[in-house]
Amino acid sequence: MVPGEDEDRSGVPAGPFTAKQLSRLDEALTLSSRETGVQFSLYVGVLDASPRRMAEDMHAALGAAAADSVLVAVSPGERRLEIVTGEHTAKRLPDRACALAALSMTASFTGGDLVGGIVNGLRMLADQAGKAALLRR
Amino acid sequence: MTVVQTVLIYVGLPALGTAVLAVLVFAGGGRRKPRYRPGRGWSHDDVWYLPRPERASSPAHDFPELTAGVRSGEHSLRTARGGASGTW
Repeated sequence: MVPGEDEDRSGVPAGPFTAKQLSRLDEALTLSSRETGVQFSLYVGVLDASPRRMAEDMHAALGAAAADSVLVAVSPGERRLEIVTGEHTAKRLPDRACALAALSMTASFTGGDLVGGIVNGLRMLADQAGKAALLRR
Repeated sequence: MTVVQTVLIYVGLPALGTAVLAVLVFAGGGRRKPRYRPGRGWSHDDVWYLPRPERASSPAHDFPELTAGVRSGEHSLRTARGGASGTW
């Protein structure tokens, strides 16, 4: 049972996802963040002419949390995916691991499975980042 | 077999079958979900999700508020250290 699932459905914003898809995304984001101590955030929307730059700017907009954050930005319109790691998270998630997750995600997106691709990609990133407690020692 | 019977069997029955199938196919179209099809464009609002804070019940949490849709140039500080890109 996901907390908040029994909330009033009329409060669900009219975004691109259904309530069920939202709850899958929420679970994936929350669990992977809690497991690893990395704050994963997910952007789905337009990435303008320079997608990498825009994704990096959005990562910077996370402020103090940016160093421990990973931004996954998906632009279904432009068919573009960007994964941005911060100062601390880049050590736990090397570019090679991000590329592997990106490859898996784009494979799902090609088949039209947006939510499945995002959920699996987050899972792969979380697996690669490892447990938070192990690293604090 | 009269002409009327022949017409009913060879024209009426296939037409009825087709009509039933058509009803079954199009009746399900009412609850249409937003579905992503690659190459069809994306006309939804931009969304940005953060993980749920651990104390979901308390209204005051220390997660930063996001100002969505920050465009380039507004943040000169560069926090990105790596990552990956992909297209499909």
